[in-house]
Amino acid sequence: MTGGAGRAWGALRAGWRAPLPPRARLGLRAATVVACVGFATAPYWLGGSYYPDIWVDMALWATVGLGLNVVIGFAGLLDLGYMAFYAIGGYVFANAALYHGLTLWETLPLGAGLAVIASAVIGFPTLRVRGDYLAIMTLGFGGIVYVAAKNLTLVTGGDNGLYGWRAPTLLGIQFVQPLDFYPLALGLVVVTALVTTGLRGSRIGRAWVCIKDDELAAAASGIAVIRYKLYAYMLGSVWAGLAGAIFAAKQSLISPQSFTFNASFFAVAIVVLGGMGSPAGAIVGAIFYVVIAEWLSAYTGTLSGVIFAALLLVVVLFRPAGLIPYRPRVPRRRLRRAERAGLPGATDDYRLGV
Amino acid sequence: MSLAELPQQIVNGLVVGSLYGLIALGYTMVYGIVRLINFAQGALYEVGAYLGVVIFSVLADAGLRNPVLGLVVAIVVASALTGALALVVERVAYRPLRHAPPLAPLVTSLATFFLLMSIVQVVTGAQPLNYPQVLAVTPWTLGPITLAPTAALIAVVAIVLMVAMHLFVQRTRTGKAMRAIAVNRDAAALMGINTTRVVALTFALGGAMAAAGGVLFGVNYGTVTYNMGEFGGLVAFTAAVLGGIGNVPGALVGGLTVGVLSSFATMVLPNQWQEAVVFGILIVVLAFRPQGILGERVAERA
Repeated sequence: MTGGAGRAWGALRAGWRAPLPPRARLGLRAATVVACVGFATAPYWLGGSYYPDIWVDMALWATVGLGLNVVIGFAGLLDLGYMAFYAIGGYVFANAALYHGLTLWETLPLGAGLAVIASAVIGFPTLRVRGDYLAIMTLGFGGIVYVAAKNLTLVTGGDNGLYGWRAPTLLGIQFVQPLDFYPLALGLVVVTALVTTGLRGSRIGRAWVCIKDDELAAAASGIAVIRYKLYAYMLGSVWAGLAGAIFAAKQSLISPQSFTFNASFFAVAIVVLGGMGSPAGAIVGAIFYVVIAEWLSAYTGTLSGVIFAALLLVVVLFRPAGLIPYRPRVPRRRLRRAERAGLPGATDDYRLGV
Repeated sequence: MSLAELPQQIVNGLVVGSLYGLIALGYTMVYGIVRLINFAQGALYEVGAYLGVVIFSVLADAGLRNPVLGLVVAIVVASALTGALALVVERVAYRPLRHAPPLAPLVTSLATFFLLMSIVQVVTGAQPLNYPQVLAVTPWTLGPITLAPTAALIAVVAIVLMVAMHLFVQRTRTGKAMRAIAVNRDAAALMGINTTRVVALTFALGGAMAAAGGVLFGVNYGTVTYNMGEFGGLVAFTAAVLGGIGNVPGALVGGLTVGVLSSFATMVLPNQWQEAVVFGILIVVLAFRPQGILGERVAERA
């Protein structure tokens, strides 16, 4: 780019970076809220018959992205077998519903609990190894769960999977159509987003960020590195367990096909694409994924795998912080108070959200 | 299961294990010098196997009927092309991220793996492809053991290639440069080693070995499938870790061990569990002896 065009581009970039005047900022925030609410309620005003599955899938993948974001984005642990916990949630629901007559509501805590226990069992020996080995070990764990799902026919129904439970009900309403599950899945997204964002700012969350930035320094500062990594692993997998149970209920069928290595790869891609550590990013990443993998694939077929992998590569190379980078928001009241108190470097520290 | 099967299973395991060792070389050499798990290696193995099919059919069209010559040409050409592809992978997915946090190149190598596998799937329409018959099928029999000539061939070629690679790393000037970079990249650069070029060469050699492994696999088993890179890559990685990652002879030791262990597993467990057994070996090794059989203790890099 040369001359005028280059200068215009530069001005545009600078303008984009510059802080907005307060009124415009308020307007922008209001517009964002309206857009989010509009998008979240889209299946209702677009008419429920329009790709009913896609909306629930977006919400479930968003939950997966938000949960995995705790592991990858906050604690910096690459987990390539995350969907194993999704599978555990799903199979727990299917078994409880089929053989023990439990409802979805009774099963949700059970699925989440078993996912957490499984993550503790696998995490305990795993988390002591170096970062890049961890990726491979979790890959192995995901693989074992997949093979088990295929072959432990007694519990999982093998390749055919499990199906044929009674549709869950709430207050006399039956959950039959995919869209019946949408409010539930959307609620899960909201809860996951709120809880994980809260965790990020908590004592545990700050310990994760220290470990992610410099494990040695974190250990030297008295952070029990392995214990906090284990917390990240466990607090990340709860959400997969919950989402997996809802997924199984929505599909009214659960089979190993949903828990291949590809699924875990896509979960990682969602987090990285959206922006590691960024909850909004995880949601946007999930929307991208579902649009490409389910909606676009109706036209492009298997090409959607190529498109998605290429997109991921481009984002990591040219926009490493992701589509919606994590920007900690510190209440401006706190900033002003710190400035008034004249704390040295207070502004910068608060901006960084430390 | 019966004990009479044991010698046969050992032989099967050694044959397939030598193949895994060959693919493991790529993981181990790249990891040894830049501390990156190059996931793309599994996909390069698959690409090599598919290129082999193409080369054999081109040769058949050109009227070349000599099977042994055809095999040599297939291995050389597939290795060269895949080595070039590995150079592209290094240039696109690794080099720009040299100074990025370690998670970034790991993610791009994973993305490259997925991209290459998806491309193969799209191009071939997910159809398995067949290899031509290269050698006679009549197996040799020695007591309780039967051995197909192709199986013997792949073991021999794989081991020859691995020994050649070991000598290359130990005896040549470039090999010495590789070892120097593995010890300390900055110091190596200060000694006048063109580290960028040597790293790229390492990726290329790894890709070439993987492609040779892919062609040999195709020749021995007759069919290649669009997802063979997934399991193949994983077993080879297990082999690399088991032998001691970063250690060239370790790749052979690890490959043979994984081959024999997984072939024992098929005697006890149904075949479908073989994958889980390999995953299990990997997890146990990483948890209890992460440095592998021949490896030294590697300190975590901060």
